[in-house]
Amino acid sequence: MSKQVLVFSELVRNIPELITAAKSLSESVSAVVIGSEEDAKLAIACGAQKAFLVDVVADTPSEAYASTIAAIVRDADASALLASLTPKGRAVAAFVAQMLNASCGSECKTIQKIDETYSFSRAIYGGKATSFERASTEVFVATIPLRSFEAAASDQTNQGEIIRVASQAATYPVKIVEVVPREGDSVDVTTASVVVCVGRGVVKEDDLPMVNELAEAIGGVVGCTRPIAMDFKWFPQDRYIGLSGKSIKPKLFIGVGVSGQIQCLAGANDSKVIVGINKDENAPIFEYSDYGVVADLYEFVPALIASIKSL
Amino acid sequence: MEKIIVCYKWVVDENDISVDYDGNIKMREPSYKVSLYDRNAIEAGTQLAEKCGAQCVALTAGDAKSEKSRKEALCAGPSEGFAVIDDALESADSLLTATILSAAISKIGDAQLVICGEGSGDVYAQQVGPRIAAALGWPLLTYATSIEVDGEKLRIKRDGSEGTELLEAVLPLVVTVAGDCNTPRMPGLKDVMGAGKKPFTIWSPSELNCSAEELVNGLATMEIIGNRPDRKNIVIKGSGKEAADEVIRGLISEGVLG
Ligand SMILES: Cc1cc2nc3c(=O)[nH]c(=O)nc-3n(C[C@H](O)[C@H](O)[C@H](O)COP(=O)(O)OP(=O)(O)OC[C@H]3O[C@@H](n4cnc5c(N)ncnc54)[C@H](O)[C@@H]3O)c2cc1C
Repeated sequence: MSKQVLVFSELVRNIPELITAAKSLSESVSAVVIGSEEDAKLAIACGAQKAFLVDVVADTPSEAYASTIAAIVRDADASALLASLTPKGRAVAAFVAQMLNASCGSECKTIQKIDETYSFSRAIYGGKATSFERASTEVFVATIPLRSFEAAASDQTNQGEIIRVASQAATYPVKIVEVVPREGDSVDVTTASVVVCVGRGVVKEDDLPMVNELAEAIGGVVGCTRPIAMDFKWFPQDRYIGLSGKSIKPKLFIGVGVSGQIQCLAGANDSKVIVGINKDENAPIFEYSDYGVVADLYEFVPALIASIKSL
Repeated sequence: MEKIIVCYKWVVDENDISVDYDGNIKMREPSYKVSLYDRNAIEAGTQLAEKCGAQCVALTAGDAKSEKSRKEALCAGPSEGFAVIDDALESADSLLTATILSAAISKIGDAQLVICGEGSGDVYAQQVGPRIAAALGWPLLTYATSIEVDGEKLRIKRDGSEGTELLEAVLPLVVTVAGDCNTPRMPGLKDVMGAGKKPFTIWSPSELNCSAEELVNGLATMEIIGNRPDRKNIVIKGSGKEAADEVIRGLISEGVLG
């Protein structure tokens, strides 16, 4: 029988989809659950043979559980750990991998096991290429983007064992002292069907009303590139699109003064139709555009608004 | 706190990376630089060192090209640099890189804080910082947006799923910093001139007691396939009504408008 595959998610609700991924690699799948007994029961109902249950310690960052997770993987003699790709899940996976002298595949799109050797594919260069890689370490750790697999269905008749594991998280030398709620953003770029993306070609914050007007006329929301959110802070960080930001799948993406660097387009590649507006005809955005408009956005955007309004 | 070590990678400028449709990675006359977010790590370490009278030391690992990082890394603030250089590190994966860097951190000695960028400009796997913590057996905190020293403690902020987390940490610690944690300084002529005078030590992995068997990657790339963007690539020149109407007609025919 092949060795166990373990799954872990910082967000307990993502465990069922990881179980589906793990089942394609081994008939023997168990879950590491940092949560409640209810959560552990759900993992078992979804097909985990065992649920290693670690109590949540209040005011403790996710990183505090990493060494406990590594110990569970080691003691279970598992061949792989699949973790869901959240920022902290990524960090925990890398930490665990190093403790186990394991390789770690980041953002795996597919994972295979042939003769006990793991291989996987991942997008590189912002989606411009797919890299196929093979792990040569005894243990393999992978991070898997959210919603890459169907969630395993829960079946209350599934039997499994809940094993409680003590963690040292309570003595972790980093503590959360306070959480200041972020101001809610009413806009969710990940669910909008049209996204108008502001890039640095829009030179002043005062020019945003023009972009807002376009978004409104076309029934969309406004997103932005990383520098607009992170350097200029015109928008909260949940609005920027790309490799390190949000991945979106709208039916229409309009880049306004966006150069189209792969790190940005990586998050918008799955849009049904892409329109790029840029005054530089050599801008990389045109390579990704269905409709590439070579124009000064300050002239073209008002013309576009007028055309939409006259429909 | 006496010593802060900031880690950086010498990478191809991300703007120079392009891929042709056969999947060949083309670097248009590649130019190299200190990876974008590692500049934030260097700045964070430099600022903390200035505030608490500590020393900020820069550390990198790579093939011979990485030696060229000396000026750019040291003119950004650190008072001393170290580079672990070996041809085997040319395409080192995160496992190997972290093993080497953590061995170098131990050899440099006396550091209580290690700062890394959130992820490298080329691979952006965001693994090396966490891995260094594991290899050193130190606690880890990722994606800090600000770090302040308060006596023996560090006060750190970061963005969590629920809001901004304010954290307190005691040393030693490995921190990764988010790209918006600071704005790296623009080095002046004096900094650039001064950088050449700062000590920069080059080690080979064998000087870190790393054996040849340890100098292997845990991952091997078997194949890279270019993905041709499947787009219509219709080019419209002009900024007036005609151009706008052409776009609108296109969008209506695609069924994404109206
Ligand atoms: C590891 C890594 C991760 C990253 N992740 C992301 C990410 O998730 N998201 C992201 O967005 N970026 C990301 N970046 C940054 C990315 O590489 C680019 O720097 C960024 O996307 C550029 O943003 P921009 O298009 O707004 O600005 P610029 O590249 O400065 O482009 C501005 C464009 O506007 C055009 N322009 C100027 N004036 C006008 C005008 N009047 N009319 C029309 N056009 C005009 C210019 O021709 C230019 O092409 C990342 C970088 C790295 C290294």
